Amino acid sequence: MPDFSDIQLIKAIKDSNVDAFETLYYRYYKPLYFFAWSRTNSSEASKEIVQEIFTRVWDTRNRLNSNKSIKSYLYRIAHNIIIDHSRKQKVHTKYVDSEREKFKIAEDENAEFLIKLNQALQELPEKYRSVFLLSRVQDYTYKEIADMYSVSTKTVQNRINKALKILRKELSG
Amino acid sequence: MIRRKLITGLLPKKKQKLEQWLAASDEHHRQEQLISQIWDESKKLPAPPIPNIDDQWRRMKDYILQHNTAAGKQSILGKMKAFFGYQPSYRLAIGFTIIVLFVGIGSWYFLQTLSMEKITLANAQRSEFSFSDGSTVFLNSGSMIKFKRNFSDNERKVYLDGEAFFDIVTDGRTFVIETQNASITVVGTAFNVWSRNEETRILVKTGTVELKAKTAQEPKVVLIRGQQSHVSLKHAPTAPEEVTDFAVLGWMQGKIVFENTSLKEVAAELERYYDTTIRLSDRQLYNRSLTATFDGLSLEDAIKAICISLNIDYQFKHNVYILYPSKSR
Repeated sequence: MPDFSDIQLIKAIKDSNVDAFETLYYRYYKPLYFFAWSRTNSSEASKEIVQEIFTRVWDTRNRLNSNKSIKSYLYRIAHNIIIDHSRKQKVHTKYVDSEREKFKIAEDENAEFLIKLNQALQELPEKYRSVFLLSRVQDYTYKEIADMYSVSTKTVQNRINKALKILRKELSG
Repeated sequence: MIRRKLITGLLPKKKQKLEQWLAASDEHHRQEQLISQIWDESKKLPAPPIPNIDDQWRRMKDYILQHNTAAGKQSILGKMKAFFGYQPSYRLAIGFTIIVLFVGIGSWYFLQTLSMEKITLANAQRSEFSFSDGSTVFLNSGSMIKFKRNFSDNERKVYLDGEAFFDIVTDGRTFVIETQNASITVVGTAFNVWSRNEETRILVKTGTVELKAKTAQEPKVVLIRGQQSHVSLKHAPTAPEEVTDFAVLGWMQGKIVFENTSLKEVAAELERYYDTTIRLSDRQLYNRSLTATFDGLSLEDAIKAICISLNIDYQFKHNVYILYPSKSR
């Protein structure tokens, strides 16, 4: 039922309709996955996080509210799970993934600069890094990113500016 | 940051201003170039591999099938209604309903006897559940409990990681709670289990509880009303100890209670309760001990209270509270 609105889907999901849930799943998988990835820096972890988000939605479906935006609800759950998750896995995933990613970068002609840039990015505080990645690598608009974090587009803009500023300092040294 | 605007386009007026600024010095030029480079190159950073969503959905669906009977509390009739009432393709719906009925009844029986139920509470959540035998459990923030939906004929067994208060109904079968490192056996009683980081603490409110380390059958410790004991790592349980009050159980009313609790544990508890991040800047703070009860305080007030009573300072930066030894004196 791909052309149903979120609200219709939520109503059906409350009635335990699996097809509606499937549509919701496909509709929000990618944005949630990228959201998780931009913050955890790990695709494995992101897969698990998205799975857990939807598990929670399904388990608590009778408490869903069709008057409220399911989108921001999903991101809120995502946010909570990511925090839990990063506490547990902080050191491990970061190391594994950044090693892996360096590999891929090495094929590019500007490899050296990119590697440096990537390293500098890893050092950025998470809230700047994730916004920066979502905007640059994933091509999300400021408006979309603002929705994910439930902040204003101005805040997103500021964070990207701030990220650029820190990166410049890092890379000029 | 005028430079970033360069990329998204500038009003003529601002453009002029930028050019002036660039002309002012070479340093400005270099900065501008670096920023542009960062901006352009960042485009080439590796994007994450996109997982096969179909595979992921299949996993999700497996989960749903296994848990279909749990949360919905829906009769099959209710399901039929949902199908008929909602489905746009009517003809299919009827066929589906019949299949769902058969599959549903089959798997319902199957899962009733076999499947495990798992309840995980995130931070800042507390909730009460009941088991199929009528016993109840009140689960604290950041805790997980796992159990068979239908207990077996001679034993009721659950697995706990975190903190929970159990009120067990007597029905002839023993009730066993397993934690990472301990095993707790009871008959009919109410008691609190705290189990985190390979430490398990028991406080009995009514009845009798038997506690042993998971690794060894002996020694066992039998606790009665108003007694507590704990198992650390693989050590034997400590001797029963009388408590003067049940203040520790305050968490069920949303209070946070510390009794000679190390600051390290205090921080962990507050993180779970408020869903926040707290760091201790210095190891010497880990074992400072705190006795306090917080009832409905905001996070900030709680932190302030701790700082005052332990004579330490705090900072709030990037959404993290950092506690550090006081600089005065």
